[in-house]
Amino acid sequence: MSNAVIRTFMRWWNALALRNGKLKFRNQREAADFVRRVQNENGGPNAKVLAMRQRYVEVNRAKAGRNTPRFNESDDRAVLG
Amino acid sequence: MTIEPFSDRAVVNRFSCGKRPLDSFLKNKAKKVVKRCEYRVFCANLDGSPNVIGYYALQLGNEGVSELPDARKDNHYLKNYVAFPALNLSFVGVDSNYQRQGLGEHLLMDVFARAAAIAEHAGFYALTLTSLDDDSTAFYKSLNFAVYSAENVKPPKMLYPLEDILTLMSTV
Repeated sequence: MSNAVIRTFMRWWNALALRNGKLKFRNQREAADFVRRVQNENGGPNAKVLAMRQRYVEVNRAKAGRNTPRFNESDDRAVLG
Repeated sequence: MTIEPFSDRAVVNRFSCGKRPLDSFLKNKAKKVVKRCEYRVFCANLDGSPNVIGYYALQLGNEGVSELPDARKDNHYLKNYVAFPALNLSFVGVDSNYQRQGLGEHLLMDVFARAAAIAEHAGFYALTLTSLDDDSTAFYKSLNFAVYSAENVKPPKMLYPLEDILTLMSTV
């Protein structure tokens, strides 16, 4: 197979891949920019994540205190996290 | 409830989260992939019981640019950039008897804590995952995970910036 045929095929293949678009960035630099943009838009962890982290810390703290984790610690919800 | 690394002691044959790929990974593959060091799997148990009620699997990975569109070696911008470093949350599952009780959130927060610890020893940009279905996508979006795969890619790939995880660790 000639180089021209291979090159034509690769051009078509790459164009197809580009159209199908796998990710929103093409290299590490763009990935870094994307992550930085997300981080700026988020403006830090939101209230839901903060609440989840708070519960996680409390459960671990309680566990360290008594070392016997229980269900139904405060209400009808099983205390798992 | 404790979360500990997968071991031979873990009883996994009763685990069922209602999603076959997640059950199958834990029952059929976890032991092998942990032994090969391909993944690290962490299991949640109740009161020292060996029965696994939830688990997650982590892998350090990247999106190799060789797999990305138009990523040929003659592209100068790729020469110095070979990968997109990330910590991948490959699997996370909660047994159906323990769902809707906050265990999934607890496991995710454990992943965050572990990501922060890993970040002290290795560099990466973000925690990544591939969302299993629309429900999980909505959940992760509510936490500010961002979709980084193209719109037409299903299921979507999502990420959470490491910087936000580190901020969280220092805040709470």
